[in-house]
Amino acid sequence: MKRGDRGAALVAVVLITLALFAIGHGLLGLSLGELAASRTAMRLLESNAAAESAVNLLLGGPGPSWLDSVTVGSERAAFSQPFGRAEGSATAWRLSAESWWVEGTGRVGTTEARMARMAWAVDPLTRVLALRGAITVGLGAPVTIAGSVDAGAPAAVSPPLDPTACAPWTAQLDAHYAIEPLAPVATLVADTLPSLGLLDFAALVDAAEVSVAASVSPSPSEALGACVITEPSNWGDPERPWRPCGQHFPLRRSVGSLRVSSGAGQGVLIVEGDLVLDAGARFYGLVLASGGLRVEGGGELVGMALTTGGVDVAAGGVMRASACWAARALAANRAGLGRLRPIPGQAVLGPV
Amino acid sequence: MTIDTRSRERAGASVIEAVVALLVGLLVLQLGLSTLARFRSTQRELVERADALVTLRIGRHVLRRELRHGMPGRDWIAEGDSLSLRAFRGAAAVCDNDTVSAQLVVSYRGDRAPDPSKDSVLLLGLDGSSVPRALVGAGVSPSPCVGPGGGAAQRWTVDQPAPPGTVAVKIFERGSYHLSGAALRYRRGASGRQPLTPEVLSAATTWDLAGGRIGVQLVPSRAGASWSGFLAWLSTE
Repeated sequence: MKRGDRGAALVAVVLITLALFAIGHGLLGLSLGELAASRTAMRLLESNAAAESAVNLLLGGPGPSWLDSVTVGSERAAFSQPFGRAEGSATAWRLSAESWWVEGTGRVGTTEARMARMAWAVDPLTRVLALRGAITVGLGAPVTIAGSVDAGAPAAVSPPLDPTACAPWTAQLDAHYAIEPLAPVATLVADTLPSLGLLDFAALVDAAEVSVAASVSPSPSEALGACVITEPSNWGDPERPWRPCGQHFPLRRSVGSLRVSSGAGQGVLIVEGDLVLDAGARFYGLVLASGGLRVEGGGELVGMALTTGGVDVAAGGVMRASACWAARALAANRAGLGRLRPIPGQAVLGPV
Repeated sequence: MTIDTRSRERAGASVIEAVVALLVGLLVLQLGLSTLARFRSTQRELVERADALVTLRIGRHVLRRELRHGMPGRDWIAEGDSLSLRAFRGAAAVCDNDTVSAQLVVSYRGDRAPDPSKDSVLLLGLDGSSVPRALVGAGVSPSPCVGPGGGAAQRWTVDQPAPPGTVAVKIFERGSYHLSGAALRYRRGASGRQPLTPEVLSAATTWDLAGGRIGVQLVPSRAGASWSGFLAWLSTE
């Protein structure tokens, strides 16, 4: 064999093999790059989903009890929890008395996504101060006052209330009513059903989970030293605040007109029709009725009322304005009525 | 004589060797070239697939992100091959609202700094109202403003005073997305359509407006399967 015969095929094969390795390496690199990009996109998607879930969880869940403790211009971390592989957290920043900036953060490894929405929640003080009268009636609705409607001291904290019962609001209530005294009867500016800010009457009805019968005699219900809050006719124990049901301020609704024939109750009452307080019936808190309000002789309403269908306080009937009772009733229903809600017509804030 | 005999034997063997070598060489060359060609076509296909995937990923991410910041009908509308929108670029919490000088002190966070030459603002009120205004000036605020997430304190001037009760602001530019020229393109204001993706989409690519929602069907012109995805609901909340 000659020397010159050696190696030509081998060299060619080696070169081709090297070229194939180079191309294969390039393709592998491309695939790995694509895989990395896909994984990053997946992490981003998971982070976004976690941020969105955190916001929706805060807006869809019951109103946190700490909402009232957050001052305007400050923030509170709501929760932090895993959503699958991602870690999600939510915070609530109070923009004004009733508007909130709710922000969710989602993290997967080093990938982070944020999402924010504007939310609204009832502020008891703001809602009470928005009422211009002890009883606010619909435009042109009939008003008959034969009994007593006392709107002279709406900020007073008198028995059976504890002197400190309205401590968070007393100063502001006093200041407000010193400038703008409360009228016994005021009129809604438009022909609408009762509402509380962005909460229209339908939303108020939806917020009340427990319905009561057409005629009820509320009385506190206790078992083993605890208040039975699931009992529809248990409207708390307003005149014995030291009892187990003394701090129970339920949110009750009536599908159709409601007659309270006797007994005492407290809280927020939403009536899809007329409300009648018979002799001996006493209610402390806030009443919202799509119909009218009638207080019979011997009946008593302490708090505030919004009734589209007018008001009739019969001789011997008493309506005593109390912003404190109304605000307490609203504050006690922070979980349902006062929860954070997305503001209609406003999309996601940001990008943040 | 011995030498001659060897030469004859070698001469015959050389021809056979040459033919065999030629055949083997051709075979190796053929195999090499066909393998190279196969690798080349695979590489091209892989690159096209990668481009299609990039397009799908960008299209999905960008469009969903843009649309979720706006309300259908008010902030964005899909017509023909285009999606016209207020492209939101940031949001701010309002610390102070001067209704006389039309100035707002805000805590701002966003994708980029506000630019009065192209940006407008959407003023969000307590009652869910939203009012658009032109942004005519933006600068650092002399007074502190602390907002959610630790935004930058800025003082903005708008063309008309903001309504009382303005609590938050969203900043936006006018733009439109187009599925044209084989790519997803973005057009800011009256400027040209800039491609955001490789040009790999076929003419069958279209917006999908059905069932009360907007989606997009991205069909790659060559490699890969089409992708149809949800972008946003057409009705308001």
